[in-house]
Amino acid sequence: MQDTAATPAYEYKVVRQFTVATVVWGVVGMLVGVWIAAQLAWPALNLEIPWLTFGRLRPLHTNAVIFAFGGSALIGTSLYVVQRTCETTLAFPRVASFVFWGYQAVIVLAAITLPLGFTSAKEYAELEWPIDILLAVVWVAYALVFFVTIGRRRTSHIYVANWFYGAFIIAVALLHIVNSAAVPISLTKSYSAYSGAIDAMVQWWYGHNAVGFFLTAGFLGMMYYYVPIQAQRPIYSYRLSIVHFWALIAVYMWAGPHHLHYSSLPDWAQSVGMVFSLVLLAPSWGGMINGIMTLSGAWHKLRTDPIIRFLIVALSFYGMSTFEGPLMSIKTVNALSHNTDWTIGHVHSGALGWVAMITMGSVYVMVPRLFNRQRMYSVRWINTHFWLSTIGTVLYIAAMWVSGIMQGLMWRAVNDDGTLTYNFVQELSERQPFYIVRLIGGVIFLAGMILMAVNVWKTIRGTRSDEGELNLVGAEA
Amino acid sequence: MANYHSVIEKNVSLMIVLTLVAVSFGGLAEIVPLFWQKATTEPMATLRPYTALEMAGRDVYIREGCHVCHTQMVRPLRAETERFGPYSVAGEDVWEHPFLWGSKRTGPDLDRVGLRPITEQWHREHLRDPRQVVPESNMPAYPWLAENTVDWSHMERTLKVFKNQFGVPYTDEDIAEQMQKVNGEWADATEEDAVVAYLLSLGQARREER
Amino acid sequence: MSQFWSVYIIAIVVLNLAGCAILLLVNLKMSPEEAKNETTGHSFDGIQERNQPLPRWWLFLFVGTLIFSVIYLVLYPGLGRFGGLLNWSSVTQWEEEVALVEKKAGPLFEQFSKVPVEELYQYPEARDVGGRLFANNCAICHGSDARGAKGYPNLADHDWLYGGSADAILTSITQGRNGMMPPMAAAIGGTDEAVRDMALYVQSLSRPDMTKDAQVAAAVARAKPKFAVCAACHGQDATGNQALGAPNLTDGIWLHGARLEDIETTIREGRNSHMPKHEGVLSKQRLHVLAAYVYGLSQDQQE
Repeated sequence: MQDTAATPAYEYKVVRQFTVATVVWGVVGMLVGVWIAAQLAWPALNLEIPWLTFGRLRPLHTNAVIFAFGGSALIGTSLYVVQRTCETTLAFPRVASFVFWGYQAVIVLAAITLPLGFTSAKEYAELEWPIDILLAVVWVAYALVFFVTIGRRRTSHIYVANWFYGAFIIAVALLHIVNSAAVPISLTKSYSAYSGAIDAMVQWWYGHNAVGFFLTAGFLGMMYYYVPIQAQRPIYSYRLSIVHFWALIAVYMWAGPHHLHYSSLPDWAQSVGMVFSLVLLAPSWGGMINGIMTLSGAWHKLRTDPIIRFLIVALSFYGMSTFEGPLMSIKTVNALSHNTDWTIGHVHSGALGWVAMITMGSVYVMVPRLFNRQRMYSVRWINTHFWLSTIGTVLYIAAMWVSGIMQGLMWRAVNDDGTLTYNFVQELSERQPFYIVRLIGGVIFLAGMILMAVNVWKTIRGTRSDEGELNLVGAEA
Repeated sequence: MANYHSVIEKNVSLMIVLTLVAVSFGGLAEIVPLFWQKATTEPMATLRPYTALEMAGRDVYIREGCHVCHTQMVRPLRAETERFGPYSVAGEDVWEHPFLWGSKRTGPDLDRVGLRPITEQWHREHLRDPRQVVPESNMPAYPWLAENTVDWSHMERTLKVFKNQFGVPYTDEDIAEQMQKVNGEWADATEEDAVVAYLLSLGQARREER
Repeated sequence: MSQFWSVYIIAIVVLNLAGCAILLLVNLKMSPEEAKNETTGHSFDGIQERNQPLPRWWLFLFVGTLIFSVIYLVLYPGLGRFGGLLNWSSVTQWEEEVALVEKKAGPLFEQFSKVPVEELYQYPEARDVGGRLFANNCAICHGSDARGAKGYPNLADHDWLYGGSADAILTSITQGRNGMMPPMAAAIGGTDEAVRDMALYVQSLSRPDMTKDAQVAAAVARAKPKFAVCAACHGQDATGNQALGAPNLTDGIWLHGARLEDIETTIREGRNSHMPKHEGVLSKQRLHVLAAYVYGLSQDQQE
């Protein structure tokens, strides 16, 4: 550990704000997800109210969990990690404050405009142009704070977590600006500047890298700090960090066309997208290896430390979904899986298993430190939360796998006479049990998130006197 | 190598620049050439621009998020062309801002729905209460479409943007004619009228090939 | 695609793949100096980094995917204008698939087309094929069980608007039908009472016991003479006219609803019923099999 005399005065206010926002938006975003999952099983729940229908709420759910929950977690942790690993205080705290309030404004505007039906129709980029511009400004301010803080570091090198956070910030800026180009008609309506197949290519270049840089690179940055901190072990391989970082960011950007297999995008672009998606497997797994192997030598902590459990299971889901991704990008597999619930299952094995669980683990590590507590209010609740998350995720993705593969098979089932074996409605009615299981999985996952919110709230309130080593929850046992 | 790399690790500006370079390859190779490829920029000969009513229907389709559950992309797989109709080609979509291919078939593909033997009346009944005509359906009901009249306030601007910015071959006379209808026979058209007109327009460029 | 763009695409793809390979290559071996130190010596908030070489199996995985990429891009389209050694394209794949199915299905439909509709429905295989065609083309209106819905005729009963013969069914499917009943209120007096009377009369045609009620009997008596204007299409005996698609009003089957209000609405506003034509949507041979299936639906019930 560092000599305390050398520790600078870290700026935690904005980190605290983002951390609380993470938990709040997590509950909200997952609640909307549970609601729309129920709508798919029981369409009467659309209630014939325009702003409560599936078509308008689904974008709200994706935006809330990716950008409000995930984004707050990434910005918050990055501003914490960059200070700690550069051993310097945050640059421009007032700009950082603008980043927080500006970003929350974007989220609130999204929560209002999406149910009203103001949408660009582009997945994960639905917000209309004035909000897009606000987001771009906030993002530039965020980049400024982050990179200037690195510039003022007191360590000679830049730590690997910051490479990933940095790449996330740069790539998301590029993706957002290019994909959001549109011609406004009014304050609430615009049309994409690109057309047809080109628009589709731009959108999925963006869309896949929202996954690649927001949900992968950014969260790998998180992993590279909180895993070694919590395990109190050195990173497994510095060399692996270098190789998988550069390979990951250079290869990820190519993977978009696998969302457009067998579409009217020219064949050459589809093939290129596919091969790079396959090459992506090893760079993705580099992060998993580095994370899991960092824990080697600390396996015994799994028995006593539920936070370590969160982190290790998150890495396992990460490894699984980054294997599944390249698999689904193979044209012949994609011909079956595309447009089905399998894709939804795949996304959630990444989003629930990896993104949410690594975030939860990191927030549990960070909250006591941010609010000067020795540890979370209840360690047992963390453990309960861990099991709720794991069971919820498994139920969810298993239901979607079965449902998705069933859909793909029923849609393509053709008899020797050339007629289709099932019509669309016959397939649709087979989905019902899986939609219900998925809903149950989601409810369980949400229950865990709510438990976390209570735990965080009680920790901040400081209603329990705490003793023992800083946040080493295992010490309680 | 690690020594070389430590140069990058000690220089945040260099790191930013190299990251930018690394992340730019994919888009440069996959996106940029499409702007110069015939397949993605030349409209099909049989393509015709939307009428104002269809355009308004398309706006409602986007507003309600129909593309969230319905694709508009028939893939060149036999089971798919058997189910929906001719596979989609890029030349049909060169005037599509934004593209509405979708990514999930909670409901069926709609790219050829205008070619299906389905009556206008059926579409109306189905939009108002899907389960009345398809008991197994899990689609939300959209009764308000039949009650709301179309908001025409931005239509002229929209058509002009599609003509001037997006190169859709409307003439000034076309736009004048459309606006005449907007102020005349379509003045009180409901959103349902517009959506149905839009749905029935889908696939018409491929009528001869089905 | 022009030569320029082709070269441009190839150059960037190759550069990026080669870049990955070079990245691996230069990081393959550790200097002896590195190997002898357990960690890099850096410390970030207490986090250290170990000097471990790249895991072997991971390295092979990476190299394996790179090699696969090269092979794939040689065989399949990807490198600009170069279409790949296999000459594969998504369109040719579709054409092959279609040809393959045609080869198997063609003779079968050829065989079916030689059998008249009236016999074909008894072929179990043809019924299966027809049933699937029905499920995929007809069921959204006429229902999965062909029993119809309000506004969409039941095809499994014996009531036929345009005739239940094999020819009539085939014509209905192929050419479609346009049923048009004009608004009749004005022609029968124009008052609400007149419409109500006529609705009661029409309803009583299939429910004679209704006239036991004196009020109904009175209404029927008032309406009956006016039915002459209706008879032009529905016939003097109200049993309908299949040439016009005018329904039989005496059989208790109500396409647009059996309630008095429904019948009143029909009289007041008229009805437009449209069956789309399927010529061009389905091949002649398929229409033939489909007609046999529909024909068979009501034949079964007689047994």
